[in-house]
Amino acid sequence: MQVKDTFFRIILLIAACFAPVLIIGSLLTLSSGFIPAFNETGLSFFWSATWDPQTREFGGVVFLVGTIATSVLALILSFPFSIAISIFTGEIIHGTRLASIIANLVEIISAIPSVVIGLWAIFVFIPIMQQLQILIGAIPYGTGFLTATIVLAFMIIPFSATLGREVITLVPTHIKEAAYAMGATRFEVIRYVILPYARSGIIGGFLISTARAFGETMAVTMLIGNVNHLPTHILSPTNTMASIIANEFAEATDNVYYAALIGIGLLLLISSIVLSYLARRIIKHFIL
Amino acid sequence: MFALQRNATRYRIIKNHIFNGIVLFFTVLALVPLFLIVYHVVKMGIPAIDWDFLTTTEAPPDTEGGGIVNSIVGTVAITFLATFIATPFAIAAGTYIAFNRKKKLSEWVYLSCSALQSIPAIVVGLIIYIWIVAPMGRFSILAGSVACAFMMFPIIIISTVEVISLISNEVIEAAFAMGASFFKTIMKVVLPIATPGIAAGIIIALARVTGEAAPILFTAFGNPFIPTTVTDPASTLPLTIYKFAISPYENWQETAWGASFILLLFIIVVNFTTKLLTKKR
Repeated sequence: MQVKDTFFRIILLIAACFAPVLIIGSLLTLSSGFIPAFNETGLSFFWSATWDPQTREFGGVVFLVGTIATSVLALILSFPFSIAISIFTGEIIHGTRLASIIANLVEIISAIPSVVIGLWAIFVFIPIMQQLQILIGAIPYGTGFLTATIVLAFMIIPFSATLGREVITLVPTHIKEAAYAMGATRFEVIRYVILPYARSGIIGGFLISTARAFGETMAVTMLIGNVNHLPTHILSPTNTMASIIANEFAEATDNVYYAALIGIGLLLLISSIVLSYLARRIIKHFIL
Repeated sequence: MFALQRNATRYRIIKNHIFNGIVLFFTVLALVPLFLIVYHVVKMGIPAIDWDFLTTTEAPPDTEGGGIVNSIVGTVAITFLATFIATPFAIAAGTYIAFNRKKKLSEWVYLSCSALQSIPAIVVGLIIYIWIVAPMGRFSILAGSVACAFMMFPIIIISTVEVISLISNEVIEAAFAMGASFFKTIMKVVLPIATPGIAAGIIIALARVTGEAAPILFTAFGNPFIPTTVTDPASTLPLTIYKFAISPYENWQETAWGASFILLLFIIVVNFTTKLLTKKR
């Protein structure tokens, strides 16, 4: 029996070690896969904006900029919506049936597969964007930076809204009631008591949303236009790290080309992990 | 003097009303796209669906009709195989963390789980391509399943740890006090109590990977025919929706809407049932 127990404990230990092994293994695999491209391009991989498989020039800047710009702008666009949902369901109508219905609906947004959102956007949202572009006299591509960003903003609302609501409900009741007892209106309580108290939690939620936006692939690939240039205009087509991989990896027959795409994957992996680690640190700091 | 004060109060009340209005407006506006998406998927999806749609394989481009049975078979095969790969390891790892909370290794495992969860799905596909597809020399259901298992693994670990931590210590200590071994205690006491919670975690993980096309793109790759072995390439519903949505062919686009309806229906039903099941306990 003693032997069986020891054996069982060892099995559990090995299974537990699997998680760190997977992370380290992934990092090592991608790093070593990137080496052939790094040998060819050197450091210019990190600062060149030219991506041309024909001339074997591989610079990742377009995609890095594309990912950061779409994510940051999506975050800004989604901000008023997620904060409004957090306040509405976490304080104004907190505890009512309607609050839980809205919370559930918001969670459904995060459950919709991103290809379905992409499909909808191609056939419903892009025509609307084209009408708008004709109206302002721009070239009616429909796809492009702004289209992808708006859809991305919608997709990341649930992550920050759900977390924001949780943090807002964590604000101690006695502090809120003290403010109400002083005659403060609800707006004043939210503005001067709840939001300052919940600030770091809300910021953490927004960082988690950004990390989500970084890795979002399918919907963005379907909408961003997939042109490997830096955007010159808010409507112009461009590309992100995730969507260049989705688009070109299957056709990368050349060794260096293949390795360069793995390098983009490595960049994406590291930035997502760092972002969500920071987010979690901030949230933990708030809750403890 | 009093008049002034009354004015100030009225100003504050008006400001409060305006604020409420703005908050309500943004909340409602955020939900509009959700309703539009569901509306269009239902409106465009239902006409595409009939018995043929569910029982034939996909049609060549620019023809008539065509079904999704190859994608349904692929989706079911990949998600089930992924669950079988991920679950035993994840439950074992979760049990380890739950019973060794103070150890440094548990902390590391937990941290790696959060890191694993934040890896973008497309990068998971890339990694599994290098690990499995390249050495095997072919795209396969197996590779697709491992990619999905990779994504399910941390979700199941975390839910297992949470569920086991909820079991009261007295129950576990009672088993030990009766002289039960660690193995017996886990198998006969802890896991039976934790099963419903762990099952909910598995289903949530399953629902999440079912909707993902990104990890399938370079692993199972897609296949217009019904796969017969685990070393065959296969299509899944999200992958088919992606390929057909960006194609210029009308019959493919119709198929994409029909497939979206079925996928969305499946995911919403699964989410609701797990929510109802977990609420009851």
